[in-house]
Amino acid sequence: MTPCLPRSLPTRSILGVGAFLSALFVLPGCGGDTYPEDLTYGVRNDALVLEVPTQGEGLPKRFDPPGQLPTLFLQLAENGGKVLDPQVRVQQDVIKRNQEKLHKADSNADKETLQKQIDSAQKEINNRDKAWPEFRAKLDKQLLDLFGTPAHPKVGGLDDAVRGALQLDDATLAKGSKLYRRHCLHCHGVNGDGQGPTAAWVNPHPRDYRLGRFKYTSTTGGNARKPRHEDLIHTLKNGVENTSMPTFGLLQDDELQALVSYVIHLSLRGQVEYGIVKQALQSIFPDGTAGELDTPDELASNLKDLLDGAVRQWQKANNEAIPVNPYKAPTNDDERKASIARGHKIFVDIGCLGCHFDYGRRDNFFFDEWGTIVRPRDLTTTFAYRGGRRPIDLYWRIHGGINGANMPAAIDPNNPKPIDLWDLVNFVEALPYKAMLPDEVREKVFGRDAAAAPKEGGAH
Amino acid sequence: MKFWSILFGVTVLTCLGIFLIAPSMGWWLPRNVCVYGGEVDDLYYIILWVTAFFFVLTEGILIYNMWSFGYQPGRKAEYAHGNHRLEIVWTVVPAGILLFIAFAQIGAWERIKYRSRLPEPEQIFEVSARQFEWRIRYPASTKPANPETWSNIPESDDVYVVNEVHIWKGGKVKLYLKTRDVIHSFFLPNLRIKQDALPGKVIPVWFEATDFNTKWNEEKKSWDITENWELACAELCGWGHYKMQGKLVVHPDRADFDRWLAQAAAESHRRTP
Repeated sequence: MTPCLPRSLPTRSILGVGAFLSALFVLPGCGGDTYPEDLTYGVRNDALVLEVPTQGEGLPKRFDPPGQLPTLFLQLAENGGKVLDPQVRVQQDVIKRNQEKLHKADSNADKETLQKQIDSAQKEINNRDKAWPEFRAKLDKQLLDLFGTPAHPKVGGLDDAVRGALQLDDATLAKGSKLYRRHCLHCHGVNGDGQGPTAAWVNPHPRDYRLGRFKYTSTTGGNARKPRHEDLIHTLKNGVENTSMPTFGLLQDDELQALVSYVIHLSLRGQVEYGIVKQALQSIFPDGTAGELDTPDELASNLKDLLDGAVRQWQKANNEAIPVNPYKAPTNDDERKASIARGHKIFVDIGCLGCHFDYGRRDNFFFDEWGTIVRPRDLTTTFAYRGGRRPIDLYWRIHGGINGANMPAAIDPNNPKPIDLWDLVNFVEALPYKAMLPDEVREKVFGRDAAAAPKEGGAH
Repeated sequence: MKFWSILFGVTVLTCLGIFLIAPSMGWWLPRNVCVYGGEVDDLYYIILWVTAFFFVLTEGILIYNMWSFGYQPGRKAEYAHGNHRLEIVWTVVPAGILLFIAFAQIGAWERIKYRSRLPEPEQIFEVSARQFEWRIRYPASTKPANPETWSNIPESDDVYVVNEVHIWKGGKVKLYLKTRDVIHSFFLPNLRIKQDALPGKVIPVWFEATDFNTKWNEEKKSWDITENWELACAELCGWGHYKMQGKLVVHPDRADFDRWLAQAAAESHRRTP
C-alpha cells in the first residue's frame, strides 16, 4: 500500500496541529457583533416600484416562486406597472425583445415602431450612463453625512427635543444597529431594503422599510401615517403570525426599544433616499416629469425637506391614535349573537366580501405598494390575523386598514359612519367558531348544512 | 513514527480532562426539575459510563497499535486473515450491551411516553411549532371539559401566547404537540423532555415540575424570573432553527398560575387601546 500522507515529520506536524487549530477556531464561530468600519449603506441601485398593476391580466395569479424576489419587481413593468430601474434592466429587456421581433416583422411600419422603441430605450440607457453614477456618488456623500454608517448610525439635523422624543440619539441607534445585525439583517437587509440573503426564500417577503410605510398601525392619517413605538414593539414581541417574522420576546425591553429606534432610522433614511432617487430617475428616464438633476446645494436642501417631512409624520403618530369606541360587553348570549349578526351585516354592507372572497376562503391576489404579492386572509381560520389577534388589533386593522397592502380603512375619521365597529370585530372574531355564530349568519357563511360544530383551525 | 499515536493520545486525554472538569465548570446537565427527570438522568449516566469505558478501551487499543506497529524501516508488514473468536467477541459484547440498554430503559419509556400511562392531567395546553416559533394556546379554564375535542377545535376564549410555557409546581401537565410545517422537536432541558413534532400528528406530552422559577413581585406588579429555564427546538428545522428559543416559566402554585392566566387572558382579549 502506498502511503497517501506526506512522510516528513514537519509536514505531518503541520497537518495535525492545523486540524487542531481549525477545530478551535470553528467551534466558537466567527464571533464579534460589530460591522466593518468601512461598511456603508450605499445609495440604492435596485428598482423603484411606482405603480403596480391593479386590474385585469396584470394581477398576479399566485404567489411568486421562492428565490425570485428581485425579478418580481422587474416583471411588474411588463404587466402594466411602472418601475424605475437604475440598472436599466427594463430597457435592456425592451431592446432584446424588440430586436428579436424586428427580424420577424413584415411591414415597414412595424419595423419603424420597433426601431423607435429600441432607440428610446437606448437613449435612456445612455442618459443613465452619463448622469446616474455621478449623481449617486454625490448623494452617497450627503446621505452618509446625514445618516452615518451601520457601525455609527445617526440622524443628522434634528432638534434635541425631537431626537429625544423619537429616541434617535446616537447611543440608542448604535445599540439597535448591533442587535439588528444579529437578529434582523439576514432578512431585512443592511439598509432595510427587505432583501437580505434569506428574503427571497420566504413568503410573504420581509418588509422594505424604505417606503416609510408600516402595515400594522394604531394611528390615523392615511397613507403617510406612521406606527407608534408601541405598535412596532408589539410586532417585535408577538411576531407576525403565519409569516417568517418570529417573535423576539426574549429580548429585554430596552433592546426592543433600541431596535425600534434603529428601524425608524433605516426607514427615515430609506424614505429620504427614495424621494431623491425617484426624482433623479424620473429626470433620467423622462416620463412627463423630466427635469434637471439637483446641484449639491439643491440636493442638500431637498434632503433636509424630505427628512423634516418624514420626521414630522413620525412625531404626529403619537398624537393620532385611532379613536376607539368604549366597548359595551354583551350581558347575555342573545345580545352577543345580535352584535355578531349586526357585524355580519356591516361586513357585507361595506363590501369586505369584495376582496375577502367567500370570507377569504377563495384565492384573490393583489400587488401591494412594495410590488410584492398579497392575498386577503381567510377569516374562517383561527390564525388569520397577522397584525395581532386581540380584539383591539382587529379594531385598529378594520378602522385604519392595512397601510400599503390594499386593505382600505373602514372608517374615515373626518366623516365617521354610524356603525359600531365592535359589532364587526365581534363578527370577525366569531367567524372561525361556528358555534358562536347566530343560526342565520352561520347558514350564510357556511351553508345550510353546516353543523353548529366549530371549524378546525386548518392548515396555513 | 510515533507522531500519530501521540496526537491521538493527547486528543483522548484532553477529552477526558474536559469531561472531568465539566461538572465543576457548570458545563453539565441543567438542573433537573421533573418528577421523572431522575430516571432519565440515570439512563443517561448508565449509557455515558458504558460508552466512556468502551471509548477509552478502544482508543487505548488504537493508540497502542499505532505506537507499537507504526512504520519502522526494515520491518516487513504482516498480514492477518480474520480471527473467528475475536469477531464473535466484538459482535456478542455490543449486542449484549444493546440488549441491556433496551431492557434498562423500558421502565422510563413506559412512564414517560406510553399513552396508556399518562397520569390524569390538571393542566392542558396546545403547542403549535412553526418556522420559527412556538405558538401556544391555553384553554381559558386550565382544563377544558373535553380535552381531546379542545385539542382539535379551538375555542373562542382560548388564550394565545408565543414562546412561553407556563405551568405550576406540582401540576400534572398534558400538552398536545403539533407542527404547522416541518418536523420540530419540543425540548425542555430542565424537565428532561424532548419530543418530535410531526406534521399531521397530535402528540401528547406530559410532565410535572418539582420546583419553580418565578415569583410575583408585588412592587413591580409582575413576575420575576429567578432562574432561566429554556425551551428549545431540538431538530434542525431550517435556517431559523436557532430562533426557536423560548422560556419555561414554572409558577410556585396553582393560584399564582391562575393569576398569570387571568392576566394573559385579559391581554389576549383586550378591547382597550
